[in-house]
Amino acid sequence: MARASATGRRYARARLTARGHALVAAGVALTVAGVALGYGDIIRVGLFLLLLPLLSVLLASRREVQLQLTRTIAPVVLRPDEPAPVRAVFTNRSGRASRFGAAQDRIDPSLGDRPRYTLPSIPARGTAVVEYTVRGRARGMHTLGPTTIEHPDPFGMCSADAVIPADDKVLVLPQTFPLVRHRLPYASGGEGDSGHSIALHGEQDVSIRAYVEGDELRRIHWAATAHRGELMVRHEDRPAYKHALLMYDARASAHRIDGAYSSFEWTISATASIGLLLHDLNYQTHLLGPEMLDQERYETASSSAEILRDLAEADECDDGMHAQVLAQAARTVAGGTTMVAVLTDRPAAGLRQVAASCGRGAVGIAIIVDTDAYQRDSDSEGADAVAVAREFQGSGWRTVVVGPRTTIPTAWRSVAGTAPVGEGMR
Amino acid sequence: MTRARPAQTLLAALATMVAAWPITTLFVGGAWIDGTFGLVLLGALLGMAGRALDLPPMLTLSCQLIGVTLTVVVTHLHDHLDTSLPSALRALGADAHHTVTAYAAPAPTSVGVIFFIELIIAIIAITVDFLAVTGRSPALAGVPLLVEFVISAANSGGSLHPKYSFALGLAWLAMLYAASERSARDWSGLRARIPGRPSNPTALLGGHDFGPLTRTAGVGALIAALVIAGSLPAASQKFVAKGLARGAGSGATVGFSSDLDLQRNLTDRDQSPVLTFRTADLNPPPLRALIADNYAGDHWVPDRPSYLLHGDNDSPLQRWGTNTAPTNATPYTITVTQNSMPPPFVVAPTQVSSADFGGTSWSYDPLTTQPSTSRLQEDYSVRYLSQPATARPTSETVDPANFTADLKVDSSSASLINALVKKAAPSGTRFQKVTAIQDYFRDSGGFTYSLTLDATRKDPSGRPLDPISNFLVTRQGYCMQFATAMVMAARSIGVPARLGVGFLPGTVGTSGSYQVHQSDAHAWPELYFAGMGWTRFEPTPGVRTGLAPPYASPTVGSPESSAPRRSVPSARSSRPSDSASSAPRTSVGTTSTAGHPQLIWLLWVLVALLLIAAALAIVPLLARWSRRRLHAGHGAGDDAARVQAQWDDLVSRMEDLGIDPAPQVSPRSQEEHYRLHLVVGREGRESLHRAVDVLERVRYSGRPGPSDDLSAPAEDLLMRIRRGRSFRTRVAATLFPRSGRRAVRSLFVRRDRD
Repeated sequence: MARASATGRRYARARLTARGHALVAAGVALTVAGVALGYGDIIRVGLFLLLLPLLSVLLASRREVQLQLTRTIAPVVLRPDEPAPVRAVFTNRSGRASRFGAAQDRIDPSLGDRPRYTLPSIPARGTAVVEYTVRGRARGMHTLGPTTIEHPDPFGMCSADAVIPADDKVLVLPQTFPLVRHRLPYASGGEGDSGHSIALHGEQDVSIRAYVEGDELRRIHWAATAHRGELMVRHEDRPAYKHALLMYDARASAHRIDGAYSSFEWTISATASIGLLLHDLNYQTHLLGPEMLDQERYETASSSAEILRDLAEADECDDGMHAQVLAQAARTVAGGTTMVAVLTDRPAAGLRQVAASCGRGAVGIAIIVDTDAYQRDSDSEGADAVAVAREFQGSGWRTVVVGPRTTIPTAWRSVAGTAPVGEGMR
Repeated sequence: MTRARPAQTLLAALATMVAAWPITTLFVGGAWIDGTFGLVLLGALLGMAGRALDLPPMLTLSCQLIGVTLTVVVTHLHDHLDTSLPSALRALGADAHHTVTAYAAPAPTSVGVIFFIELIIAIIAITVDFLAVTGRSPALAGVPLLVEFVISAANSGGSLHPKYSFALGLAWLAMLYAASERSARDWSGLRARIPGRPSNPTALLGGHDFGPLTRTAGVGALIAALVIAGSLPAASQKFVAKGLARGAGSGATVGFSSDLDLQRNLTDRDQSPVLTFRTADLNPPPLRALIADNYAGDHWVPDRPSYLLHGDNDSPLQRWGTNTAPTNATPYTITVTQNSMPPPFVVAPTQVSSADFGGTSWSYDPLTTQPSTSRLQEDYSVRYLSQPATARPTSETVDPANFTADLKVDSSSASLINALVKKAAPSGTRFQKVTAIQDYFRDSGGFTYSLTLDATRKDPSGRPLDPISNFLVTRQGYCMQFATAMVMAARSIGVPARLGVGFLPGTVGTSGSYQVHQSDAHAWPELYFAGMGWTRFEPTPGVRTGLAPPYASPTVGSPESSAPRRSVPSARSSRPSDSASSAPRTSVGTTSTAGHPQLIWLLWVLVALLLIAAALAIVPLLARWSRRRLHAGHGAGDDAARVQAQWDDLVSRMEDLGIDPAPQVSPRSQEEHYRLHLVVGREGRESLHRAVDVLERVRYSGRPGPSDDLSAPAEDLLMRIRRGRSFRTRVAATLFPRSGRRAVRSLFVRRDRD
């Protein structure tokens, strides 16, 4: 639900159309000819042709009507291809009726065709309502507005344009795919799906439970014991959360973004799908992208909704920013963390360190997008991608190289573990 | 059904009929109206059918033209649908040509006239339909409508009543309005609604409400134009008239003179009417001011009244001697509302039965029933007898003793007159003979109405010919010559004849009253027949006098007998609009005295130039239009699409200049292609590179902005290319651009969508 309201500028000065100009010229010529030849009828016709556009433009310029536009959109966060009804209310705040207008809302092309509608003459202090639907076809924050209104005159002699600068935003989430719920592999080997932590500060589990035999006496929480009338102990076990770091390569220089397949969109979509899956598998997921460096937001785990929102607005970055992401990833990963990286085949500073970080006990899954194959539009793996994959494999990562026609579920199935995670495993 | 656009079609048909409305002033009766209306409707229906079936525009147009032409031919020439068709068509053409050239407006509606009016208006209707509905340019459809209207206006003599322009303006505005509605509907089917109000409260044509602007601007402009135009012409016409008057050498107002030098009156350009009168007679006779019996070898000597009886208002006049009343006649009254004839002259029709001069004392000659007054009487009424088409003499013989003066032939021209009579009227009764003589002068004799007389010829012995003989030899003259010759011809076969002098009934004004000007001065022969009395004949050609009197018309009982006469335009040079009515229609050149032909030619040259300009403008306009459609098709506004459209525009304009587009698509290969084919120097190549650069950036960088624009380098490049091309190529690129020709061709292919 979003509401925005803005008031239109007064009408721009009406301009003669080509037809208006032609008529003025014809009118002058006919009037002069009529006067010269003394033809009353030609003079009449000439004067009429001359006066009609001039009078039209005069009357159209005289009018200054202020229209206020309020748009209501619900919902404002859209899944891909989800329709969003828009209700636009035009309020005439002036003391006289507005003129007929042909209106068009400028909207982002990915929201569909620009909505066009006709605006009848709105009586003084009256309103007009128009409803239409937009559909988010591509992820991102999209703008509706401003609204341009063209006021034609009934004879096509002149036209005046007005712009109502009312902007509304809708957010379209990235496309996600259900991924096969395999148990994720882990590098330290053998202890089962035990919790891992990453070296993040600020987490203290201080739950309190009833005393059971064998608990250390020093763990008794005296205040709670007094309160409840039975022995209570502090439950200070290391939290059993599994942590995952999810990162992706957002370099503009690395991706192929034009053409039928965009490697960047694939990357974002894959990252979002994996993020949802990790959340589903009870991982505390930390998204690391160029936008997350700001205020170190990657330090706190994100909910699935937050991940989707962040990825919806994800943008390409330059190489320096990517280097910072990689450096941060290498620093952050500690033993036991699961790390999922959606990378490209382009070399980057710091990539080696990220690859090496897995050796410190972290689990690594790397999806390498073969942008070279994107450019060639072929399915054969490029040498660069294979080289990057080798390097990560050498450090103990599980890797997969994806081309333009690899689907995200397929890629995930080939890179994640083999055993499905049952509901009971959660 | 919406594809057929019935509302716009019917409006176009209606506008065509409205533009044809002034034609009712050109012809007597409305025999052409039903047929024309049917044909216009047929054209409209065919157009709707073509559009409903989504036929290519040119095919629709062809169907309309063929359908309508066939219908006209079949309805009028169903008896000649064999080898005689061409000759039948020729006959119709000749008939129409004769009617148009022989008569002043309003002319009788002959078969040929109806045929051609129907055909021409139907074709104009189809043109209007094609432009306004199929071609969606209702403004442009104003051109054929204007042509149709101007043809009527120019031929009707004088300015038309403003109601005609007003109606046409309204009809055209309605067409524009309908098209605007249509384009508003095409803009979007989605319409903002006003809460608590039905969705379509005030729309005129089931579409949109443009608000009060419609009435204010449209009707306001119409009324303002009529009002302003109404205040303009007096001054402007005077200007033209003065210029001409100087050329003719008679600027001053000349009163009616009794010396019978009619030419001075005829060439007079005084605009103030001599007389204004009303009458119920659809065919008012000329108004006589005086009578002449004696021809003095080269001029007529007006009669002095021998007796004068005091006139009593509204009591029957006495008739003496040979002045007998017609036995078969209808009484009519003319009511003069304004009169400036200097006393004692009073104009009145030939057969006056009674008169009312109000308080002014008046008298009349019982031998001629010609009234006269001692002082100027502004308004008076005269009751007179009008003879019907069936009037015939009761006896062919008269007693010559009573008509000595009226049977005296002019000896110097007698031989030529006798030869003429022998040729024109070899047999028949006297009445038939004089009718034949009259028609010979009017029509078949090859005489030309002209205010200038040809140079005086010489007879075999070297002496200059007398005026009558000279007229018969040169066959050129004005009413005085025609009337004199006919008087002599009638006298030569024993019919008493004299000369009547006065005025033609002038022109019908907007209020229905007739206005008589100095230039309406006229002379005619009056012949005596037993049972008919002194009877007017009309040997002066129809271009000046309109129709002959009903009883003397060869086609007795035809509708022509009700046609009022119009004064000849050339004589009425102070009203330039008159001139166009005769000039295109008379084969005879109206003379230099009037000085009008030049103006008429100017008008036609102007019209021709306009048409040529319009024709020349079509291809470049179409080119521009298709370019604009290109922009729109790319959904302008999106920066990438805008730049792509700019590039496409550049490519098509280079193609106009004779540079073939690159077969490849990528910007770089296109640049290479153009580098190879353009001779534009280093700066030109740089412009090309800049343009290609922008295109490439926009195509591949993904985030085009409003700053991406290749119009500046494109303009620079085009300017340089143009500089390098030959003059011929440049002219061809301007007048017949390839893109325009493509657009013309595209008119012939089926539209993808309506």
